[in-house]
Amino acid sequence: MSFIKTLTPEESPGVARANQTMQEMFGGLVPQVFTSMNLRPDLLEALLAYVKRLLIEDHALSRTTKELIAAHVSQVNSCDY
Amino acid sequence: MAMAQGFTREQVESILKDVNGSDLIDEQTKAILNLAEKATKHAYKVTPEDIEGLRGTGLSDEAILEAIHVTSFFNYMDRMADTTGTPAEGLREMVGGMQAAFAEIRGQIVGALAGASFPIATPEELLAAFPDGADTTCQSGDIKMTAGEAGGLLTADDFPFESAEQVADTILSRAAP
Repeated sequence: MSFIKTLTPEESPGVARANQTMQEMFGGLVPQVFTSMNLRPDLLEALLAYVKRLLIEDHALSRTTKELIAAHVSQVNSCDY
Repeated sequence: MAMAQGFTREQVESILKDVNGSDLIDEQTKAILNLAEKATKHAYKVTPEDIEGLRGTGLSDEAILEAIHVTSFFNYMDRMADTTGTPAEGLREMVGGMQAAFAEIRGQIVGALAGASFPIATPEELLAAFPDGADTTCQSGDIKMTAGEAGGLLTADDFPFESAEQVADTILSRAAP
């Protein structure tokens, strides 16, 4: 559940498109925080494009290094993911 | 879960407990994690010397910028999760497209147990329910897991299982690095 109103794909074609993008990226295991942002599917889609470029594709850093950064940031923020 | 690169959950915990003392990561990774910590706690304190220190380990500016992006992005997601009241779970698995790989493996586990009869009450019954027993293998990209390895992630409290989906979700919730 989110503090902010969310939309179903039936209510919003933008959400339906964003859900399709997330299905392709995450294959059914969509982190809830993305769904909590779907009232603005345009922003969500832009964010997903960034995630794909930064985290899913390989550029300068290895996957392992990026995972360690993520784990370290979450630990410093005391936020468990 | 075997991964071509990367660490187990225990190794990650040990690295993060003492980043600079760890012998599991190199100087570049230590420098990156130190910068990530400083940027997360008080980014305004980051100095040109800090960045020069990263360059000194042989990191390119492109790599440093990418590290700053990853650090800032996970901080952004933490703020977003906390402020929208949503759990921040499942975010690390975005790295390298792990979710898609996990989803594929989940489908394989459910498929492998298609002929099994539930409830399954013991680890022995579970292994016997897989077509090739402990050697039954699920794989997606460079992530590979046998039923025997998967069984090692379960505890007595997980039993009995009522469905193949429940088995798959329990295994995958333990397998995340």
